[in-house]
Amino acid sequence: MNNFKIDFSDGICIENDYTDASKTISGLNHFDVKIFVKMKEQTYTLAHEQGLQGLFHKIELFDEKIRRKQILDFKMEFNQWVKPYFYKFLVPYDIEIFYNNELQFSYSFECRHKLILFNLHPKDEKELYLWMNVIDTFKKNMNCDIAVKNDIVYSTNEFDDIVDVKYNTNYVANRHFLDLHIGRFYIPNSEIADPYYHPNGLNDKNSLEIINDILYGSYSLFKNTI
Amino acid sequence: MKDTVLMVMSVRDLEPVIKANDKLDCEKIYFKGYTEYQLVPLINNFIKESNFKNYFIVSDDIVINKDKFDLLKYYLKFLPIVSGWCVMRQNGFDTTIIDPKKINFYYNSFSAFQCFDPYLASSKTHEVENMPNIINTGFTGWIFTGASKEIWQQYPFQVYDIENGARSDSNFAIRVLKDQKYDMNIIKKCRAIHLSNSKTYSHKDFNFSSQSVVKTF
Repeated sequence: MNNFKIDFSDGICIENDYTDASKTISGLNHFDVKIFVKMKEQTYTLAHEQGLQGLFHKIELFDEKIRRKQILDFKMEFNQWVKPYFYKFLVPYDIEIFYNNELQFSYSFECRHKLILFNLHPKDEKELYLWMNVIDTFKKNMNCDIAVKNDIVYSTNEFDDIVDVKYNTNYVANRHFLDLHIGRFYIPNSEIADPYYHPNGLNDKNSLEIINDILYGSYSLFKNTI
Repeated sequence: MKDTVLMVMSVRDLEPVIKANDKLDCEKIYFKGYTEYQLVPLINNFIKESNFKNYFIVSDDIVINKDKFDLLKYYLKFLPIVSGWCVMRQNGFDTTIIDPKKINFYYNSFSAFQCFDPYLASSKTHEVENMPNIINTGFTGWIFTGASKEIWQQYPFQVYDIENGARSDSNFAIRVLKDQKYDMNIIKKCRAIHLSNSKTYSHKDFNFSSQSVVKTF
């Protein structure tokens, strides 16, 4: 009972292809799904430490812990898919799936050996170069493959060391693991940043802050949930 | 003419795949628009009548870069059968690396041949890191699988049947495993990219309406 798939090509989609409840001891025909996010918890402490000469030195302690926080739980019927979130930015979900209170499947977000699609909408070439630099680091850290959908990247060989698969903007790309959109996205007919694309808005964010927010900024979104 | 040829089973014409293949240092032959069943005589005749030293085979949704393909060619100097690897689907955790010891052969209802389910024995993405660079495998999945002309003639391209799944890759693997004459080896560094997600995978993408053989030599 472990035929589960997690897909990030449009938000997050969890699916199972398990069908036959009659073969199970309990006869239950659903799973219990719990979703967590990893939160960074930072603490800053000012302390005093006694030195060799008996003098007290002021020291600053900075501590960062990764904590797991549950953000959602729901039931998933057999042979069903569920899309609990539609966020387009990267969220490092942890997922646990139970059947009759027994853990059947757990997943901690990782994308090693997977193809990540970056849809890039830079305001100019300078911004594109900067974003490609960040994507290069992301690729190395995540040990993943990179696809980019952008006409400039498509038409040059300059980024071929970083990009494994290139698409022009007209190409329908739907064969990857995770779909990310980097740019400035607004709620239609407004100047309000679209919360499905930007976890922390767009106010005064520079090019680097925009991409960093989309890749690494989601934890703050869930600070006040559950 | 180069001494290595890449045989591409192509029913989709995916642009990123064709562009990546163009960069590989080898000759290419695309069998376009044929089912695996129809490819049996075509591929076997091609191998018989051509005179390349090494023959690689790949499906039409796999991308590999030139350096990794060069590495596969290099290892083929020392190993009988080499292959790249990839994830079975982007939204899954199974890879095409399969421990031969974990394979359970069975006879299914539609075939007189023995077969096995690659998914039941596949290594997961998180397990690959701890594997050696040369991995003995029970399956290659046609992820840039290469061998000499002699080996391809000993183990010609075959399928199970038309109706219920041709599975030429499993068919090849079973014959090689049963004979125990040659090892199939996956080169860990030669990770290819499988442009495939089970949510969007559809046979509707397959184009069997026009058939042709296109080659670079």
